[in-house]
Amino acid sequence: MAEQQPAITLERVCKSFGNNRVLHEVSLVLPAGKILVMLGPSGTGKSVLLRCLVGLMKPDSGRIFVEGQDITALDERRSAGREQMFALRRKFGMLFQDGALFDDMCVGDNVAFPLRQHAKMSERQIAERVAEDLERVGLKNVQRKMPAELSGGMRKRVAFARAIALRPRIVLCDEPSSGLDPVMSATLDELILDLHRSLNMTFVVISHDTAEARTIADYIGLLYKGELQEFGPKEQVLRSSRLAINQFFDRSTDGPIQVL
Amino acid sequence: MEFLHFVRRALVAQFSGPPPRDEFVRHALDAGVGSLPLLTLLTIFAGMNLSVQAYGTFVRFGGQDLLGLFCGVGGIRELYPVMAAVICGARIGATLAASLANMQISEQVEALEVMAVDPMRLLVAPRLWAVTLMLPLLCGYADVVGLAASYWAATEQMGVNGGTFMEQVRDIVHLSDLAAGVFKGVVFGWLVAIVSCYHGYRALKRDGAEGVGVATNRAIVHSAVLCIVLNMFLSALLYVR
Amino acid sequence: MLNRSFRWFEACAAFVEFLCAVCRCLVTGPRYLRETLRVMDLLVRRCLIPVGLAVAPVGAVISLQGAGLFRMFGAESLLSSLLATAIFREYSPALASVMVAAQAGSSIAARIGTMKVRGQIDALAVMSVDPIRYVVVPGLIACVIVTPLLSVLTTLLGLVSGWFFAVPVMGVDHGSFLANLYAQVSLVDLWVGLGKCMAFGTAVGLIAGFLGLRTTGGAAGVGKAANDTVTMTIVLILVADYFVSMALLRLGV
Ligand SMILES: Nc1ncnc2c1ncn2[C@@H]1O[C@H](COP(=O)(O)OP(=O)(O)O)[C@@H](O)[C@H]1O
Ligand SMILES: [Mg+2]
Repeated sequence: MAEQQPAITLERVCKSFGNNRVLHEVSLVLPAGKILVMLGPSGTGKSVLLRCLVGLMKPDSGRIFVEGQDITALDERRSAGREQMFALRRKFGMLFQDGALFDDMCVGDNVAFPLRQHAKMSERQIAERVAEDLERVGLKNVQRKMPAELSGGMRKRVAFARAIALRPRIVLCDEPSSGLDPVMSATLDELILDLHRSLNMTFVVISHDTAEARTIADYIGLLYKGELQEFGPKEQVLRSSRLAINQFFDRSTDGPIQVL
Repeated sequence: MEFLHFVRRALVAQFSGPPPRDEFVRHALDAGVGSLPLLTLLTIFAGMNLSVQAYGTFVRFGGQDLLGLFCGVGGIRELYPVMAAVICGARIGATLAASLANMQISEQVEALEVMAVDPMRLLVAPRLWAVTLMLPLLCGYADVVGLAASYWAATEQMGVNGGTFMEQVRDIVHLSDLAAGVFKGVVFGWLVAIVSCYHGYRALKRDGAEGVGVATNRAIVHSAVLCIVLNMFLSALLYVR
Repeated sequence: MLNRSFRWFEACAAFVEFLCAVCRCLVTGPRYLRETLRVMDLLVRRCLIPVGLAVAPVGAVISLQGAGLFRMFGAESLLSSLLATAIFREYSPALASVMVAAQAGSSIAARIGTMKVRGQIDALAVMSVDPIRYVVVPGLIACVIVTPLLSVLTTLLGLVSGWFFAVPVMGVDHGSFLANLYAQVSLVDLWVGLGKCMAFGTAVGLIAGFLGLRTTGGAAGVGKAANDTVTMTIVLILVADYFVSMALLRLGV
């Protein structure tokens, strides 16, 4: 493949809620087929960044390109813009921070949902795909269970299965490892790597787990107080002498990242 | 303003093709059949109340023989449609609002958006159709049950002559009144559904469980008040000559 | 089936237990007066508009339909008597209570339910503050006091809107409307109305507190608690209203 477009490009993206400046001039370029781990303490706007990426929120200024298409230019209030937005979103799979499973559907229907909506597949094929994806995330024979009957970690894995069911080109994961036990979160990391290798998906993974960043990342970003303190290929970032990144990886309280 | 915008989007979603069938059937059954026990109980007592209270009032003027007229007019033209609507708001509307608000605060609506599914089409349109079509049926049902209850209370408890009662009801209640009741039902049904969906849809993630409570509360109160006020205007429109 | 009736039984037992706890809190201190006043203030402000908006149209509709009926018998002057009795005795208390149930009941239940699912109720208990005393009783007292107050307002509003639709709209004579307005209303009617309001207000406060404290199942449960409170209170109000009216009729009051 010659000269592939970057999967995601951000140009000076800013977002505030009232006086609360959440994102300030965030710019980055993520090549297709790479895994980006976005680190940062809680409350710095990591989730907001993801929302902007899929057009759930609109940045105040700046532009976001998804495979070359400007998502910020789409006006959702017009039906044409909405159509385009929906077309663009089919490239994405997203794992929400709390899973966002539909609690009036059983697990099987939850995972099958995007397939039923968008894929031209027979019910049998869908059932097979659902079983396959659930097995990928280490769950078996849970199709008939309701989300309320699952533990938090299981719900997260079901949500992950749902996010990848359509084999999207870009998968966004909001803190996939938080709330999971170490073994499970390692399994999920391997799964991400596996999907990445076999299906060449692009991943944006939000995390505050530096071990996770070391294992899976191609690119690492550090977001703090709404600014992208650090962004680049993993080796470069790990070699960086920036205080903030060292503090984060050393788990130290001493450094530019202040709790208060 | 925001509400009008929501109404516009909802109308577009409602009339851009048939609603998703499973969702529609589920909500129609829940709204219709699910409300029957409550509505039956309430209309029985409302109908008997109407009789007893009207009797208590009319006895003072020596007009107890006019009970049939009053129960016919008061019940079928006014009380039962409004009752069905208020109950519908308190039960169906509140459930709609709570379920949508719950989906909002747990990011399920956003998950839909990310999966490129229009939540208006998938969630709001079937609910609108279900309630709009079910409430008129409930109104008709309430008319029958309520009238029977009024009749029973009037004849058995107050010793009014049953034949006269029914004759007066037939005299005063025309087919057009029943049609007007059903028409009110359609209007109230849509109103309850849109108001409840609006409040549910407007809940924000950061409101948490509280947001669900607020949405439910607003859905109940706003749909009840709107239906009662609108009923006055509809009656003025339909019956003032 | 057996399971369901058992659950029902269990709920009844829990309600009795709840009632005892509430009574105990009512007769013994400490009382959270400030909290009670705060809830009352909130209820009045929240309920005033919905209750007013719900009752005014009823007066209008009685006039509207009643004028037509009475005209058939040439007894238009009786319209205002009908309006006044119906409003004083029946519609004002019942509707004020239904709207208090809808507004105050559901918001109290939702508030307590939210505290419950967030673990705040347990936190209160751990800090040795009786949740019933602290969150249920103030709401209950506020409902009992606020409902009759609102009903006075609704009575006035109902009469005014009834007058408006009778006199300017339907062309009933103003003089005879006023002359007959109080002809059939007695002091007893007034007391009966207020008494009903207090009873219904008690029901609202009790049911909202009870169902709020029994909330389970996260955010969805909060919605269910609010919803169940309203439907249960409306049922209770209508059923109780019937028996009160029957009893009064039998007594010939
Ligand atoms: N819809 C919203 N309205 C107002 N403020 C918001 C909204 N969403 C997020 N915020 C604020 O943005 C900041 C970043 O939130 P978030 O992106 O969720 O943090 P995190 O990095 O932990 O995911 C927080 O201060 C939060 O209060
Ligand atoms: Mg977050």
